[in-house]
Amino acid sequence: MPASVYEQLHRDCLAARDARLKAEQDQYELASLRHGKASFRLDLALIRLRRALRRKDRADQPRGPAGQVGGGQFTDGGSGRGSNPVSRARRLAEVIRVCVLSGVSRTMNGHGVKTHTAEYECPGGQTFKRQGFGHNPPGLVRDPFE
Amino acid sequence: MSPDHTKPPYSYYAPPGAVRVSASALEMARTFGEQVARASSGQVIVFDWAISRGVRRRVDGPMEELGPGVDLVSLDASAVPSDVIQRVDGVAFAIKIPKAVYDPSAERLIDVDHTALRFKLVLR
Repeated sequence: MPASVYEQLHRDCLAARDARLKAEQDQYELASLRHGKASFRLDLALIRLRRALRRKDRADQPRGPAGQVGGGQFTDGGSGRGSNPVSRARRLAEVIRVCVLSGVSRTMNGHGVKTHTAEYECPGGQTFKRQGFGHNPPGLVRDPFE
Repeated sequence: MSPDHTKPPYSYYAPPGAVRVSASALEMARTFGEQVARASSGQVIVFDWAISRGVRRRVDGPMEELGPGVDLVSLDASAVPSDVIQRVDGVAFAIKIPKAVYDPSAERLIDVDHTALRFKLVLR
C-alpha cells in the first residue's frame, strides 16, 4: 500500500531536520577549531613576548658589537633558531673558513686597563674563546683548527 | 705630533719596526686578508696578542685552555690608529702587542711554528 501524502511529508520533514542538525553540528565544529587556533596563536604570542622581556631584563647578555655580524643584537649561545646572530656567524664561518665573533663581554681592571673576552664560531662546529686588550674585539679570527 | 705609546689605544700596539714579521707569517697574513676581504671591507689585518685562549671542539665538549699567544685577526679600520698600520710586500697590517709583552722576547719576531697544534703563530 503506497504511503499517504501525510506520511511522505513527515519523512521529508524529518530528513530536513536531520540535514539542518548536521549543518549546525559542522558549523559548531568549525567554530571550535577556529577558537582553538586563535587560542594557540595567542599562547604563542605570549610566549614570544615573555622571551623578549626576559632578554631585555638581562643587561649582561652578550650582544654582537656594532659594525660586526649581528651587531647590537642579543646572542644566545647557539641554542636558538636560524635567524639569530650565532647562527649567522656559524654560516659565515663555514663560507669564508674563518672564526666569526658571536659574543663579547668587556671589563676594566683597577689600573684602567680595558680587556674583552670574546667567543667565536669556527668552521666545522668548533668554537673558541679569547681574552684580549681593549674593548674592541676582532670581528674575524684566523681558524685555530686549520 | 707623534703618538703617545704609553696610553691607549697606542699602548696596545707595537710601533712599526719594533716587532718584525717573518716571510711565512706575512704569507699567512696575506691569505687571511684575502679570506676577510670576501666577508667585509674596511678591515685591517692585525697580529693580535691574546691574554688567554681556549678552544672547544664540540658544543658540549670540554674547553681546552691554550694560554696566551699571537693570533691573526681583523679589526674595523676605524678602531686601529693609522700610525700603527704598516705595509710590507703589499700586505697592510698592524701589530697589537703591548710593549710589556714584546720587550722580553728574544728576537721580537712573529713567526710560524708548523709544529704547534693550534694557532701556529709564535712570538720568538
